[in-house]
Amino acid sequence: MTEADLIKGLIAKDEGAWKTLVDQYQILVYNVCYGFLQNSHDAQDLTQDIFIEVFNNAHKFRGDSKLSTWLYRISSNRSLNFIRNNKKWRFWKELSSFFVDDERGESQESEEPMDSDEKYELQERSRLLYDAISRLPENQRIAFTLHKIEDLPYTEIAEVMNVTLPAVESLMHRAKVNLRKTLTPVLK
Amino acid sequence: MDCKTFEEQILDGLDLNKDTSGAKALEEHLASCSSCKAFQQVVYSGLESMGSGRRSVNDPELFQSIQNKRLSSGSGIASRPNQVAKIVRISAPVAMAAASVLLGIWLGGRILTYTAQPNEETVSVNTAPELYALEIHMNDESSEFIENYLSGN
Repeated sequence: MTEADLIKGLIAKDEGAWKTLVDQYQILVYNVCYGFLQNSHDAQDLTQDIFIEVFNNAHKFRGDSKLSTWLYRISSNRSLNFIRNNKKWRFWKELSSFFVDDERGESQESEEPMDSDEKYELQERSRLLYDAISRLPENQRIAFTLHKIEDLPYTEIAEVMNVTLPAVESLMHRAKVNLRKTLTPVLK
Repeated sequence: MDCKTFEEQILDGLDLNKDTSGAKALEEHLASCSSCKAFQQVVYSGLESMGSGRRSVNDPELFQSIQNKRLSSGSGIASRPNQVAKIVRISAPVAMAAASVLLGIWLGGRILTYTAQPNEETVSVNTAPELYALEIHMNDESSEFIENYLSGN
């Protein structure tokens, strides 16, 4: 099924097209959500909501970009909305970071055994970086996350964010400056 | 080069494993600068850790979960049991609170009635001494005796 056929099917509310969409793009949507939220349960929930939104609003897709670009855009925006609308979520996230056996720690432990000090240090570094990224303005945060965690090139980020390539370069530059400003005093 | 330049290179994701002059300069600097070393560790291992929960295989149950969620959120009938459950959930504490208030009112009423009774008796003694005398079984003879006793002493 081509992308055009898939979009036609989605607009016609065809179940087969919808299943194909979920099968083809669930990893993309989930990983973008996870990159922003850093919590598998929330990322899973949000992935479901995003696909429902896509199903309900498929007719709004203009077709002037790739379907994946549209999904990157929806996933990034919905993830930031989720963070903005769930102020309690931030509190619980911070609280959960105090527990040693979180899901990230467990997944890494299964790959290669780590002593608790090493694991704690890794979690602490991860938390420092995540906190610093969380403090970035939203557009810088989207650009940085999509580039550094999703490995998207600047050209695709420009399409996702609907801005020019120099604008993405500027956003990335400012994001790095801000991250340096946040991280350097903590690490001195 | 100063620390700022090296920190920028770290954020740019300069690959230390590549045999370039930039990578070599950064490696030499990291060996002597503890704050840049800490910065590099936070950025490199932080990014690696943040990407570690990513998926590479499909969740086979996701489509069914989405279908279920869509159906339950889309129809009004499906959302009605949620409302009923909400009412049931809050009805017990509300009923208990109401019962506590009623019990308090009833107990308060009883206490007030009980404490008010002696006052009424006192009032009746002051206003009607004859009745009080009757109540303590005093007759004319006994009151005459008391009067005589009091006047004699």
